[in-house]
Amino acid sequence: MKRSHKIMLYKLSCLLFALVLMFLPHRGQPYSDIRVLATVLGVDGGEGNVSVSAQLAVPVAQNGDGKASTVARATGGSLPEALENLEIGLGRRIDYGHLSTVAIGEGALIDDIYNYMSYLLSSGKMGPGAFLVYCSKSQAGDFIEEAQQMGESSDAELANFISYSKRANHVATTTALKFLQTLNSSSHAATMPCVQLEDEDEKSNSGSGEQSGQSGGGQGGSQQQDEQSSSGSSGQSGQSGGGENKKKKLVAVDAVAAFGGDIKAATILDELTTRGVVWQDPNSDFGLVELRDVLIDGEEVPSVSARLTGKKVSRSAKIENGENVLSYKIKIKLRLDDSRICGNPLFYDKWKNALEEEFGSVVQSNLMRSVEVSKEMNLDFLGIRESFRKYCRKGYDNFELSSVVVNTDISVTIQT
Amino acid sequence: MVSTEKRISTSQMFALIFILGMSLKMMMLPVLLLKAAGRDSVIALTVILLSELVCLVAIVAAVVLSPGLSFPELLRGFAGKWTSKIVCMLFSLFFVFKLVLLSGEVRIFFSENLFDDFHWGAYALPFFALITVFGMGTARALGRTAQFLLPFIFIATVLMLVLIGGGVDFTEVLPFGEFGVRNTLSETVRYAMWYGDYSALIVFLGSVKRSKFTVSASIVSGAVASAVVLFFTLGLTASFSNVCNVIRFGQNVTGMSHYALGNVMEGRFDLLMFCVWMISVFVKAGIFSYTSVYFFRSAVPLKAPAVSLALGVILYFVSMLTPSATGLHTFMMNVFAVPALVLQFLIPAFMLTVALAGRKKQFKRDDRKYSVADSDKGDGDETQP
Repeated sequence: MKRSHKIMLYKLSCLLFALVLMFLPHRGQPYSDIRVLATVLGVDGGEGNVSVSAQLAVPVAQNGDGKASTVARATGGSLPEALENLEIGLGRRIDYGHLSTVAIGEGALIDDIYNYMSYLLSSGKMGPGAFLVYCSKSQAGDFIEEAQQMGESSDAELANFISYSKRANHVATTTALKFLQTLNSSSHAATMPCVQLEDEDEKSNSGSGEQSGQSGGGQGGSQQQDEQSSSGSSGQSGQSGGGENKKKKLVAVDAVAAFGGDIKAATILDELTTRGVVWQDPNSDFGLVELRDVLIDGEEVPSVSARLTGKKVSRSAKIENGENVLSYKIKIKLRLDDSRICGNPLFYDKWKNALEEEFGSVVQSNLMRSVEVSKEMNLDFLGIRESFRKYCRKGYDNFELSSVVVNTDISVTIQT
Repeated sequence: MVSTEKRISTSQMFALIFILGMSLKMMMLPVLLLKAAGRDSVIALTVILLSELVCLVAIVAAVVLSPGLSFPELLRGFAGKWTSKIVCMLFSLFFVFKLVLLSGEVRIFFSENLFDDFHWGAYALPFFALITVFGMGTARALGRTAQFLLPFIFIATVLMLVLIGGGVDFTEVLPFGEFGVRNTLSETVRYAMWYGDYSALIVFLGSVKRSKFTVSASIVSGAVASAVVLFFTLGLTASFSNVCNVIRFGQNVTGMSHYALGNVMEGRFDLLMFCVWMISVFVKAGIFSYTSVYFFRSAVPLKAPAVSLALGVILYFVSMLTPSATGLHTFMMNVFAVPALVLQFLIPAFMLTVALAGRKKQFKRDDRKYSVADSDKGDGDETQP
């Protein structure tokens, strides 16, 4: 064969390959035109009676009323069957490649959740990066439907809400893989952020009730009831409920549900404990944190809000004087939101150090609160046992959660 | 003697080593080892990478010390014509099976990562057409292709490293040693067919334009490729450490990057990068194809296009008849584990031995030539008035 022929053959092969890659996926598959994308999946019930709900992105041209998304529901004896029934009911194949969030309904048991997640991951339906949320006050199906109605009156999308929280809020988030990984660790416990839709009045009332007992401050989340248009930084999104005049809010991540141990159902952790969980989570390193009613150098400051710009969390486990000792070292960088404080000439001399100390003590108290609750419940949702397994084998062999000594070294730096 | 214009440059050697050291190992081996040895797969892969680097050192030494003759020529001089033919046929078969394995891995990648309904019959056509073309090419053509594509592969690899590095909690790789050293090493042996790819460099023996950077560039390339593979294995182990039962064969690196990136609503940039990186696997398939054809032709003197075309057609049908990826994996583990392990150490040892023997012969020949020339010169001096 001549050299020119070889080159021609080579070029033709490359061209053929490129053409196949470019056109076959769309043109060669008969189903591609009748697929819909699932962005959020809700799962309710246990083995024997599983109910699934999916928020589906539907091509607008195919949908008569111009909706960009819809919610479909189905039931089945198992999750695979329920998902199959969902497709049969729709008459379309559902593509789960863009599944961003899986919502678990109230009352779900840990074994069922584990099976669902394992199936969704191992079947390739869900990617390991999909977020998990627990609907603490409703079934996942109802939650998704209401969130969908809410989204119709605005551009709010449940999937976007959760992913925004992960990226820009100092809140607890977990992915399907992380959840399974933590649950499968020696700690045998994992947490999942709670979400719920609440009437605005209900939230305001309960919120103020909770706050009255909290001196010392906290962080973004349920504190900022009045900021309806705070672009998600408050951990909630206020919208009008579809068709009703009631104002609804998508409330997220001011509590987490802990799973594991001997308790099969979820245990909802309170707000302070949740904050502790978030502080020790190295993946939550952005968002707003806030101090309220703080006394600095004899001066009472009603509110100081700061944006978290960086967080480093490291753990070390060792045996000291025969006791298992876990040490947290947390370095936090904050940038004050309030320019009036930054512009104050006395800031550096008087306030900076005091604020850093105050923030540090709040973090420490939140974290220690989480440790206490974990010990009380005998539920290792902070992964303390797993830390000993990783870093101190001897301590792991003689591990007893209630007798672990936890030390903290919190360092807060306020940047200007 | 390989003519100078057919030789590859040091930079082309760099590209070939980088591609050989990285692609097939990163595709599937980390997942297989993770499923077999858990977190200790990191130890298993470290052992594999170190042994590969030792082989690479021997190969580079052979390349540098060879007297400019190809491996079949050197072997013929060292062990005789028929032994050379048998060895060449054996090597050809070995690389054909490597190619079968690689095509299976490519199939899994496309069916698991990119397309839900994947028709391998359609995709296999251009794939095997491509390796047919590579098979009928030259060493220099391979080298130039690798050199041209290396920047794209390198950029895609670096971007994937950045994507994964930022989102994976690497402390999850701990603790090591729970699977046991013996079990880990036995698993390492079982997957011998998946590594030892530097042995394909045997076809470049005598075909490298040696420069002062040849040795250092080759070793650096191998070390970088090994570091990349190790990094991805660490990331994968950290991501799926104690839930490796949920990972699918084809979703190794993409699964990890998906986990690291988190939000799929913002797109799958990692998949784009991975597709660019996949070019390295195609080039590697080309190297294996060229190696198989090269050794077959050294044993049976046929024209390259005919051998290459026959190889492409046979492999197409073999791959179509292969029932499943797991079946192929089991076959490769059960049948080829020990032969592959032996061959991957034997080939560099062989290369070094024949290169040294050839070099010794050449020195002797040169000595004889110089002594004859000296004596001729002496005789001439005597005849001069």
